[in-house]
Amino acid sequence: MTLLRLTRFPKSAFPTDVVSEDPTIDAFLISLDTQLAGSAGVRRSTLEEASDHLLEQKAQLVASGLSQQVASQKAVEMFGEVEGYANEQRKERYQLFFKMFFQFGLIFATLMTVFTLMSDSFWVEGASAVSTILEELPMLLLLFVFYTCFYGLCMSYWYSFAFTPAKPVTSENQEHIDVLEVYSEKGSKSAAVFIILLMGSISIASLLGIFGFGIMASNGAILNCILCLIGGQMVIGSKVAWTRYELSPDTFTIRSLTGMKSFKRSTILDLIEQATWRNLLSTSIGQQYILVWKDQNGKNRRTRLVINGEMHNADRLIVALQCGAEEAEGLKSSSAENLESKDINDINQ
Amino acid sequence: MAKNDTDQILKGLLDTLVLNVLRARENYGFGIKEALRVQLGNDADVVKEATLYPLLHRLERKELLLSYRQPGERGTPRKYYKITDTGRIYLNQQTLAWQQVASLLERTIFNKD
Repeated sequence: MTLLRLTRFPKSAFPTDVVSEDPTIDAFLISLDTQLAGSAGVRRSTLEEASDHLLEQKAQLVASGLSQQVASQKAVEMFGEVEGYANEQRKERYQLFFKMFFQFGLIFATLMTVFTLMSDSFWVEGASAVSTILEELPMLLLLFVFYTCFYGLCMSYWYSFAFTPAKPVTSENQEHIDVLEVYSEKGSKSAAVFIILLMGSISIASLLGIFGFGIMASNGAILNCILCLIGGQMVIGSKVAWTRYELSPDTFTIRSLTGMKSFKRSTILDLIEQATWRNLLSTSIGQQYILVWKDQNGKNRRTRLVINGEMHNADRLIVALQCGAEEAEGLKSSSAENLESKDINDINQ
Repeated sequence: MAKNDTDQILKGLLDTLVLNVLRARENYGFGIKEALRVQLGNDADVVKEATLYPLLHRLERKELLLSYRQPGERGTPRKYYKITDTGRIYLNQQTLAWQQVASLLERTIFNKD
């Protein structure tokens, strides 16, 4: 239970915005919440799904003639045991935590060790490389374990128990009610400004270090070049906080600090998720995707998109763009699909 | 066959049934459960919500499903699930496997000749 409490930091109380105003259903949700892992935001998404289901079930039972109170009671009974449901949610979160712990921790520790070895200050003048490494090996190993634990713990905790995707929203503009708008809130923009200042400073200090000036001079030229590039990429990548995607029934538009691009939806062929290593190389703030589309000459073109969970409606945009391509594929194979679905129905019967 | 054994077989089939419901169109938890209730008839009890939602989340982790939330009628977001290309391939494979089982039973146990 202590471990569970740790995952619920900083706010362990029931998220009140999930309250359904049905006492039976709310009692069930509160009981479910006490057994869920994660911050209020993480728990909220599980509670919202359960609440939506219970209220739908209740409405159906009321429509069939049951009283409000009996319908609520029956809906809760039909849902099943809280423990089994909560247990699966905890298992899912803990598994994600361990996976991320090793993934983030090992990547960060390896990078830091490589940086240490690249630094001029690591090497003793006159001593051979092998003897220096052997001498410093215990310290290198200790640092590797420290970096793995420290960074792995911080990042995996944030990723598994704290990070909450932005809420889905409808367009505030009534004329654009059928347009899906994907954008970041003010908070994300403030965080981006912080990253720009921090990484920009590191990048400039490394640049000066390449020429032997400032506090980074002892790092050596190679390490400073790498740090300068990483810092620069992070600064450029942060501009995603000001990127806005708009998906209407006919058009997909990207508005960013560098300009605007529009694509007819009928020309969009696919949205491909980039591999993790590519994300790491380009240090973008979010997941990278490649939008594949056909130009006027029928030639396939590729446009890079960065989408992150802090953007409202990000998940819906991904599904819509990926499925736009699938639907086109689906038309081609619709006859085959129909035959298969007939077979499946036969089996089910 | 004992009720428990039937439940175990149906639970094993549940992944396939859920993907089959989503093959037609994207749907949310309650909608999926209702579609299954219609298909399963008297055996519908085997699909408890406490079983269905973890199953949906597991299929999502295996990238057989994608999910997204959109503002619901009651103010709280509603989570929708959609089958992926990988999900369709997996469904086709599973369907084939179940067809083989059905065919085997047909040729052996159900064969009256």
